[in-house]
Amino acid sequence: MSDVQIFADLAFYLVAALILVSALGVLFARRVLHAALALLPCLLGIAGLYAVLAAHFMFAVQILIYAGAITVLILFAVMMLQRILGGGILAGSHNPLVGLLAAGTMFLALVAALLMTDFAGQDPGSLGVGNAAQLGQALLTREVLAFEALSVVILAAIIGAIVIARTRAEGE
Amino acid sequence: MRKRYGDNLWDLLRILAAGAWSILVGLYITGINLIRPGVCERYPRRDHRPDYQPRPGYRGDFALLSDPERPGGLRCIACLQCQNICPDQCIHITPEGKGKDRHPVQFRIDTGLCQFCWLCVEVCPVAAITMTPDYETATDQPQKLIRDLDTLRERGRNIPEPQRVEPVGCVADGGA
Amino acid sequence: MLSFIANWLRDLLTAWFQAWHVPLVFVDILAWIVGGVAILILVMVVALVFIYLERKISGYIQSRLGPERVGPWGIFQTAMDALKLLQKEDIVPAGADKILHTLGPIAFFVVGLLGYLVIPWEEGGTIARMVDAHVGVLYVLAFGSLSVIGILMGGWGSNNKWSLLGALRGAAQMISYEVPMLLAVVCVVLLAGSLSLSTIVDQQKTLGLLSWNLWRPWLWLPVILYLIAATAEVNRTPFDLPEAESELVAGYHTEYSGMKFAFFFLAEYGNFFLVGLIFSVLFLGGWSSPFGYPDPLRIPGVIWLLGKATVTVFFLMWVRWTLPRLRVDQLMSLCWKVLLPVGFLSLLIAGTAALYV
Repeated sequence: MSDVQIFADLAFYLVAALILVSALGVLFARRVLHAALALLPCLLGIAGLYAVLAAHFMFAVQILIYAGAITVLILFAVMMLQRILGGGILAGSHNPLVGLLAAGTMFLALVAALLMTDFAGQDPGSLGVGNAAQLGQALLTREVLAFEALSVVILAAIIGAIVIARTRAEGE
Repeated sequence: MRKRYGDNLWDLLRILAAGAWSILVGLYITGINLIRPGVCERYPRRDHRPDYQPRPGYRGDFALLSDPERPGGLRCIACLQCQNICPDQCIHITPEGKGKDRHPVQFRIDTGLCQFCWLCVEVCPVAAITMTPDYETATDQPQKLIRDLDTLRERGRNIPEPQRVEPVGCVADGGA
Repeated sequence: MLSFIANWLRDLLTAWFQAWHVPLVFVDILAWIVGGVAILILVMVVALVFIYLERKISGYIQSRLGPERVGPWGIFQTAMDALKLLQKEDIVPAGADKILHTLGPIAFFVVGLLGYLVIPWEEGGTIARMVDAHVGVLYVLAFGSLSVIGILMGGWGSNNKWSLLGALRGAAQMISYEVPMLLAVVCVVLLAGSLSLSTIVDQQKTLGLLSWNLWRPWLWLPVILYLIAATAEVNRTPFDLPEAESELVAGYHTEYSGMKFAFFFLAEYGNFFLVGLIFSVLFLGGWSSPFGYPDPLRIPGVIWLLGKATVTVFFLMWVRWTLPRLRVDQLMSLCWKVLLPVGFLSLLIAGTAALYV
């Protein structure tokens, strides 16, 4: 194996270790706030995986959207809830049997899907959305319907959020 | 909304232009202040006003005025009036002699206690004690704040006339 | 000059590693580590210098002198302050979440450092060259959005109502102002045709001063938009309500003492300098000299870039000591009601210019 290959493998293992450890942290943290914060290295690790696979655009966008915005959203939600409930929310299982059933089914479905897909035989170049330019072109030519529908959905979400959040006693 | 953003587009543009202009004026003012030479003195260097003297009547450190013809060499007759009137009791005088020869052999003022109220100067019947415009008397040891007879005599040698300033009154009465 | 040093170092390391039969890939790793350490040192030095400059400039603007005593003209003041902060007791408030309290400043500081990796210091002188080649601009914006989490951690981990309030306001402000900032930057990207910061600089180097993006009229709106949004992004007056001294005590860093406070402070100035650097790269021509492409004065490009960034920072400091602070609702309304429409308008103008000019 060439030196670069060794290095790429090393990077992959390190990043994978980071993801697994922080995912375990999310699962087993005593307080929900710590669990939400442990999600951050997990998402950054996934961004690292994208970088190792040379998908640079996904790397930057993963950090921008997931780590930057969605984690902040989760943190806001947990903090607000803790403020309202007046104390630290502790993680715990309320219904272990149902949880086990749901998680087990999901696990089996994922394993089945993974085993049935032929990863090594696919040609990554055929997807055609490697970098930002190709992605932009695909979004505005082939996938323009999905793009426009998405913008309508986001607009509806924003309007809905404003409507829900405004207080009743507003004049204007 | 209407009040802040105007009635129509022309109004809005005028409001924005006024806002931008006010920011530029503000930047000009602070910029001019940045470049203008200041008047701050880098004390103890005296760059701007090297010959600064406090106004007459400034209550600085103490001095006992001299009178060479009297015993003791000072105008002071050790009448103890200043010691009695001092509100902080910081003057301690040891008198000697009787009648016209009465003079102090020990005259200690603790400037650490003194509140610089000028009462001792006002009450002195012979204008023997005064306060000089000497304001740089800060020290790092409290013992150094006590003035004794020799220091006061020394300081008094350089003053030809006592500083006695009439009270000027407050502004409402027409004073300065 | 930087590439000269970098190449010399690389050749030296390659020779050593070949002599000791170490895999050559470690040369790259070592090069990256050296680059990272260089960035750390740069940010520390820059923060020290700019804190001193800010105190001096604010003093002169306010008709007073700044620090005067510590060293000639007080130049050692910041270093002494840093030493003082180092030896202070580290107070963690009772009932505070110790993990969050400690990790907050660390997260904020590290994220602030990471943005420096994609800036082109010189021709071919970016540290993370491959990342910059594909997604330079996006990377910087991504780490701008990550610094919000450091503030949230700091505010929550203080067990203090006002810290939390300051942190939430700060977080809301930072995530809101990312949008106009992104729009302004995207206008420049439209015209450059690439997300890479080195390409953007390369397009501004040909004619020296005349080819800067600052002079293109269809980019004037993005210039103003970027300056306003980036100042809000790094929490500087007139947008510094999260750390306002008179409103919220000190906002999210109230309960921090000693080195953790120093971390927040240094990171804030690091972010501020990064804003100046990005402005210089996008609009002022980056490392290129104002006198033309092969610089007739033979001054290294790094010096030009640092100089331009310093001028930008000086201008923003000047603005800081001129304008009053915005209230939080004015702040938010400025972002969503004024800057966002202006951002869309500038996108329209820049897009039209990119097509027809």
